[in-house]
Amino acid sequence: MTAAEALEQLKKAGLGDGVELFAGPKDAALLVTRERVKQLLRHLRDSRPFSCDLLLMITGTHMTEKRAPDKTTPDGVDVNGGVVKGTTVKGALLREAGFEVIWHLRSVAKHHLLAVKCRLPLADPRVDSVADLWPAADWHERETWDLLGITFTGHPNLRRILLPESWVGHPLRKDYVAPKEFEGINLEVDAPWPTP
Amino acid sequence: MADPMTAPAKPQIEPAKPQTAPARTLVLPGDPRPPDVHVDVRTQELQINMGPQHPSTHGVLRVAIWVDGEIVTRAEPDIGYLHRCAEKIGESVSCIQYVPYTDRYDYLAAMNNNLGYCLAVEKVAEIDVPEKAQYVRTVAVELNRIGSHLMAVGTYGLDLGAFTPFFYAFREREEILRLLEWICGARLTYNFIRIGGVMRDLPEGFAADTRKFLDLFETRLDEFNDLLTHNHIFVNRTANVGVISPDMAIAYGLTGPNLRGSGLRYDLRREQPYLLYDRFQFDIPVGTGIKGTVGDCWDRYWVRMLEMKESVRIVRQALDQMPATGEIMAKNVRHLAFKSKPGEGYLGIENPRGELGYYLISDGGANSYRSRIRAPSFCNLSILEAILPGTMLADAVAIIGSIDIVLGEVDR
Repeated sequence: MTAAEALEQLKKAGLGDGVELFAGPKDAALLVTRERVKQLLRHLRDSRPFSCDLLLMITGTHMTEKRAPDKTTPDGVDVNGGVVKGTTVKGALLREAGFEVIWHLRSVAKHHLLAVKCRLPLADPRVDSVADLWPAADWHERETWDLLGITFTGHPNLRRILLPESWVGHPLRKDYVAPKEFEGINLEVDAPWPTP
Repeated sequence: MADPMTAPAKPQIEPAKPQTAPARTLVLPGDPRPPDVHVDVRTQELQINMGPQHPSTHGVLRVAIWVDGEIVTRAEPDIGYLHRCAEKIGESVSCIQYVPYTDRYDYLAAMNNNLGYCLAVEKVAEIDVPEKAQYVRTVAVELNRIGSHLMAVGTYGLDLGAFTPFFYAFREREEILRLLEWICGARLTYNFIRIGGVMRDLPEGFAADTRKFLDLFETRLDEFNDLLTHNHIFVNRTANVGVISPDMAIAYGLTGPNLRGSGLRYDLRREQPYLLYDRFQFDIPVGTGIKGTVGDCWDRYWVRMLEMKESVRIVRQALDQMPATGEIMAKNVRHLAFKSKPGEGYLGIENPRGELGYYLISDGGANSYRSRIRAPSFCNLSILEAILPGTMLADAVAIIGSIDIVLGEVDR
């Protein structure tokens, strides 16, 4: 089942509100508003045509703003010989800044793979946890919180999983700056060897 | 729940509070004593630390285990000791440069990791791989799968105190490492499968040598079965221990031999054939509970033993069908200035440990914008929290070993 077929099915079942098709150049996904994420995932798991019972992974991406290159017209000369300043037009917005969370679901019985995607604003990256639907989601949500700082509301135990508890920041954010020092350990690349 | 963005982090492991455990009503299977005897024995809950330096955790895994007497009441795996920023590196080096890094995640099945990443890049960048290269890839990954399973079953015996089978498994694995060294020069981290094809063609005489090895290997598998598989002590330690029901396996996202050990016939080589797996004949072994219950440790072990036989069949067929000459690298890959087309894609392959998936986002540059690894060991390990409570402490080793994790992949 492709994402387009899944959307057809959802519309037939009256669950198409807030769901649209994310048609990337390669993989398609169901793009859903964050209020509807949990309801949709539960439906995909439980209803017969989908039966996506295996949660493969949950992950996120920090999307930075992307604009087309600015357009600048060169300086010109008017009829009187004076200089006319060229103008700069800011490039069109190609991609808004924010977070994307993606859930990959596989159906063991029906052998298909579906992806569900949700866009979150940069300032408030939070989305419902599905740890009560799939126990597998527990560690994936913890990892996404650890590395990207996306909060999964309702998660029973949202704390770091790969990094130490006292680590500051979320390394997979594009604006992350690696610390110079962590708990007395010098992390600079060209740091001198410690003297005993 | 407190907001984790602002609230101070909870301590990782709560210190065990000295307390008197409630009267124990747990009765061990096969124990003839009536439960009252146990109720009289009051014990204190004790927290013990298994790992990170422990021979049976197969790397740097720490499991905090709470025991009441000899029975595990709670277990909490603590991971991250081998975290090497795999995904951050994936964003900061080019796709071509990233291939050797993938070797280091599941270092026992490095060929499979190369393959998973290359297939995902090829999917996003729309690269067609020549047929000959696909056969060479199949031979390499299936030999690597045998090597990886040999390591899994060999060290599993070692975990349970059977020392000799380990050496028999390593004798066979050594042969495989020799064959793989012959084709690419490395014994563990191969970097043999490249984006668009493979590094080089199989050397002359490789097919004949491999066939000779496969013939010998099949007889040696029987020897291994006599030594370990049907060994009475080994069966007693593994049958009916750590039973994972099919529903539970799916809920925890188990894949690979662990899922098939629970009786589910699910193999990506069959369900979503990549490479040329639709051209080969092979069976998908599943756990049937011969020695105990479906989904116990012995079943998971036995699935791996049977899978090695199937890999032998696949390698033989691949060597038979392989064209004598042909391109081994796609034409349109400009390795020095490789840029992927913008797009995103997920691709999963059947690693020896389960479904290894790479989710890549490219925005048209040389580097991936995002490269996420769906590591099978990471997902498989999370079931420990659920299956350890209620078992004997000594069985914890048997259960962890039967899940067959590689910590390089868990922590990435």
